[in-house]
Amino acid sequence: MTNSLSKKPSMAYSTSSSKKSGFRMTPIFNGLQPLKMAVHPCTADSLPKNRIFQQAARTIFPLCIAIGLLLGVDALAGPEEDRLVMRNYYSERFPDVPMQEFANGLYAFDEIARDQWLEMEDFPSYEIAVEDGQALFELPFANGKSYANCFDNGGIGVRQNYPYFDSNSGEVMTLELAINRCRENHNEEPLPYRTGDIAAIAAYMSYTSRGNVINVQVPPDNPAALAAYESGKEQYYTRRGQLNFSCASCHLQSAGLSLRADRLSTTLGQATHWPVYRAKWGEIGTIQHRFAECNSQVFAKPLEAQSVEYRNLEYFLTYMSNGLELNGPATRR
Amino acid sequence: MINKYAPLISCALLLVGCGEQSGTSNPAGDAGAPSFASAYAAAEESLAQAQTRRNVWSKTEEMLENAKAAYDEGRVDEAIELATEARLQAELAVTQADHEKEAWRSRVLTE
Repeated sequence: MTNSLSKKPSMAYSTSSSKKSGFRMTPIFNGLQPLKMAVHPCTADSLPKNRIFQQAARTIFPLCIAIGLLLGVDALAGPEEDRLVMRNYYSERFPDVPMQEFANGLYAFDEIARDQWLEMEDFPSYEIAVEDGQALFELPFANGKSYANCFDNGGIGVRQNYPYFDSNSGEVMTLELAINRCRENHNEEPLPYRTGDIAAIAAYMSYTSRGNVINVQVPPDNPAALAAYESGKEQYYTRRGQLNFSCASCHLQSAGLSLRADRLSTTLGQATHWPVYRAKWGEIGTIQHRFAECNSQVFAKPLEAQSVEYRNLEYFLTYMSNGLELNGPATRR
Repeated sequence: MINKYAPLISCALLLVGCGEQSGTSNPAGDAGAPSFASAYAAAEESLAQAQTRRNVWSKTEEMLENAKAAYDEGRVDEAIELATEARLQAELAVTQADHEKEAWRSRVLTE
């Protein structure tokens, strides 16, 4: 493989000294734009200083504030409001963790696990998958075409745009689904989802996208896209299985707490590093492979990989990590 | 004469009846089949409802398969117990899914 695996996952504070000293909150929120409040014309200072206008100002001023607030709420409504609320929630819950560090999962706040993880990253277990993925990616189809013909920029450095809502088909398009659609469009058999070759190809494509900022779009003028996002949000908050758990039960309400020998990761950053080589799997797998595992762990029968529900969930989950840098593939225990 | 033997005849009939009822413990006894069949059918129906809601608990289907296997091997009591448990699980999954249709909204993170 021509590319060396020199691109380490994003570890803004990974030096040994910082590990000892602990994290400090950075003043910069990656990709988070401050709310720009225009100077409103309805200010008391700008009104003429006579009694009629001052009385009017006393009446109109609160009304203007109310309208302004409404406009402000309207501008933030929907996915973007959800994302900002979630970022604020985790910032308050983990005040010492810089925003980009959430991309490293529990290693952002568990120092012992982080040390082990950094050791693993010296000889990353996903390295072979990336090499295999590159070979598969570059292997021409029987018709002479290749994956590069199906993706923007030849499929290099595009992971940050997935999943997206495909207006033509009216569905969420994940990277793995796009890989298989590409194969089918070129008369090749689709690959099995979750693990294996499709995860390897996705690993290579993710690797070429490292450092790019997640930029998932939910077009506000597309009700179908918004419905898919909302459906994913519903999946995320819906309790299921014999244990009656939702994604949020573990990764929102209990994030950072211990579950047996592990600590629960945060929702924020969960979509940045896929596919993942998990030691317990002994192979590299996709994010939907993990969805299925999560479902099994709460004694719910997993849904099919790339089912509408899982794709919508991935859409919601990835949108929540908008603004964070991709750092996949990754290793996990 | 009839009055004299009436209690004895009644007891005999009762014992015969009880014997037939307890046939469920006999391997694949005919008397047990209706009970298992109804338990199994009820479980299948509940499971279908859970499947429609895309909310099946992970052990329910396996439990139902085990119920069938137990019945085929003549362990009818165990088969009925497993089918009943599977039905209860499926019913709970349906209840859970119906409840969650709206309940999830109350957990959405807000400012």
